[in-house]
Amino acid sequence: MSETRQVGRRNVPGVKGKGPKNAKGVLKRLLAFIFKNYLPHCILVLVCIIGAALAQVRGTLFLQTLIDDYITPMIGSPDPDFGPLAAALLQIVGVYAFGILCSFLFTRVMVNVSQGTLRNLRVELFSRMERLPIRYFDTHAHGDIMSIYTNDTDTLRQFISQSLPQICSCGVTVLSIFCSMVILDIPLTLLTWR
Amino acid sequence: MELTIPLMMASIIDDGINTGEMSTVYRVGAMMLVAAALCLLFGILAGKFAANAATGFSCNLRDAMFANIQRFSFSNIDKYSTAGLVTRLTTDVTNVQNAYQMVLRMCVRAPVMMICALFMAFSINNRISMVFVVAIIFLAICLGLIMWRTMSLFDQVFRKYDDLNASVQENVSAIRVVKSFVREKFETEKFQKAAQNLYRLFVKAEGMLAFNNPAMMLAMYGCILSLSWFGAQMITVGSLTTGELTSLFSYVMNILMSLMMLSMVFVMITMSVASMHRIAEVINENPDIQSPTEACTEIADGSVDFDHVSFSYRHGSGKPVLQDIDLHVRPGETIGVIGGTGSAKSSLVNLISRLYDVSEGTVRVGGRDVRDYDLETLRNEVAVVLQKNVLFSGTILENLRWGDKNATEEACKRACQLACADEFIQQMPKGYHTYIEQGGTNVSGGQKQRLCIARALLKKPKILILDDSTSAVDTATDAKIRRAFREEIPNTTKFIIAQRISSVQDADRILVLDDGRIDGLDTHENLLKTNKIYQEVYENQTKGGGDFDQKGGELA
Repeated sequence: MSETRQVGRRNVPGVKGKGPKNAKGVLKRLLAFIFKNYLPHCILVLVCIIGAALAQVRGTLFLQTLIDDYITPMIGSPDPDFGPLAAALLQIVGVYAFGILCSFLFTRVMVNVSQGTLRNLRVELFSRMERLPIRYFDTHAHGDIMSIYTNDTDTLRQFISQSLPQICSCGVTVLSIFCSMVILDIPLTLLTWR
Repeated sequence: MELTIPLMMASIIDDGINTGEMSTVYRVGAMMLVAAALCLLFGILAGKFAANAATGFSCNLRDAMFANIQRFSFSNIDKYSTAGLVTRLTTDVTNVQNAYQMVLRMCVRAPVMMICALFMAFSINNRISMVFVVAIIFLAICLGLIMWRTMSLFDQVFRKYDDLNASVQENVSAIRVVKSFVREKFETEKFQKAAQNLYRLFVKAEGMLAFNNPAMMLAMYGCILSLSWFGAQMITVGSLTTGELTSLFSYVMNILMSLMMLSMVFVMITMSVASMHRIAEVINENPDIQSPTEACTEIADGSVDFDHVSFSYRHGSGKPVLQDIDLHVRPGETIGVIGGTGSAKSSLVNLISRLYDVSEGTVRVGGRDVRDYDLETLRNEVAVVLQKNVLFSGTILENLRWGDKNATEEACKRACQLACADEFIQQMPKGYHTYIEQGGTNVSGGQKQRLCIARALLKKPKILILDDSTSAVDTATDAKIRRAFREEIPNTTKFIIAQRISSVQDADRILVLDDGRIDGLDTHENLLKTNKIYQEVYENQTKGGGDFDQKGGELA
């Protein structure tokens, strides 16, 4: 029965509105944990994200050529030939199908990755907890310990399965759109990015 | 605001670029900037208010659940298990909160945008906009199918979550037992199995939900393709201008963007429907034991009567735990209760304060059926010191004030002196302001028991029940406590359940229970002469030499 006992809540660092002191370090640790078990999955997901984004950009590019190359020449002519348009559309169907496949694959694989990471995290938490000295349980409120397993891991689930892929996908999309803008017209591109 | 942007874009292309007039372009361009800025402002405000609303909502939910849980009787709590209640209060409420926030932010914006965009598209050209309608119908069917399949899956998921939490809770509160029997590895394996099961179910459920994404993209790309094809045909015929086609394309983006938002909302809602059911269950639960509508709020005296009472824990199941108990206790009497392990001693006294209800017969306190009293009044006048003593985190004084909120420090000290707890409290450096850790881990078992007796005494009850509460206290202290009871609170009816004959032998009458029935009810001397069980117990205990601080065979 030491006199320097602290009550549960006061032991938890970062309570009272301040975030963890080492946010970047924690993030790096978390990412390392995910990649440790799921590296091939993550690489596949990245590839799929790039694939899906590229497909989307290709589709948008097509819209630009649609009006200029296919439609405008046909305006006014009495017997328009839809052949080339049909061929181009078919090509785009292929691109889109590829994009859909990639996007489904990456969503599905992310489900496995995020749930698996959570499971591994929980198991490791538990086995660590079992080895802690009894003093830890006396000084930390039981509710705090339990809520780590439920609340905190749930928030991680949102992060891993939604935020992470979203960041990647948006990043890739922005990058590819930028590239296509540069290809189309450099001055306008510069204007947008100032 | 967002809807006007494609319109303006269309007018820029048609009026400005195609005709070569730059001023139109500048004018409309400026208007577009303003519209976009307003859009941003409103979006930020909406997000802020939605977050406020969602967290307030989850706070209210938790309050409501907790308030109702406090009214639960033991059988209600057994129905849900403690871990189930904890999961509901944490994970389920968080799920519902997230879904609610999403719904608030998207559910007004998305349909409005969709409807307006559809309206604009139709106003441009009827026939081609039918493409949109087809896409929407297709998407609705897909989403409906997915939702239907995943709802039951998520129900199962949350039940597995309960199991996981039960495991964690057990280990956290009983860590001492786990460590002393070196069962860490076993418990970890058990937990791993539970986590693996949860993983499988979750993957199955979320995997189903993942189909939502390709369905949406299929609809979107299908729209774009059909627009291109039919649009091309219509432009060559002349029923559509290129500017109109471009704005139609941006309406496609709009509509499909709002559909995408709706599908995200729908995903969150699916996951939280299961949570919502579980929360509603708890909030709507009616406690088994309630105060009657016209309750009596005063107890006449401390007399207790059992009239042919039978009781079993699960009504209508198997053998009753108590059978045909007939007992009449005068106010101020001290009754000792003795019996083998499992002879239903605790069950008997739990019936007095209505912690459980009888299956047959009636229990009367102060001459009236306990079911006629207001629960709060009844439980205030019947003080119970249970076998498992729980102290809450707080100072010793705060714990004592559980008995009487307005007790002065002298009253608390007095009660502690009666319960022989005062001496060890004075030895603590902070005395009565010593902080008790969660679950009372920094006081010994005997100290806990004495504190609980003091707490019960502060209530100044008409009936005091001591359920094996001097088991961790040595015989001399036990005798001191009983003497204090005799002298200080003679008018309180006292029930003392004990394993030691020495604790009950100077009670007014002793009740001997055997397998749920009364075996004998008489004074110590008479029981020694007539009751076989009592004789056996007495012989075993005195022949064994008694306690170390008691000379063999002599009474304290």
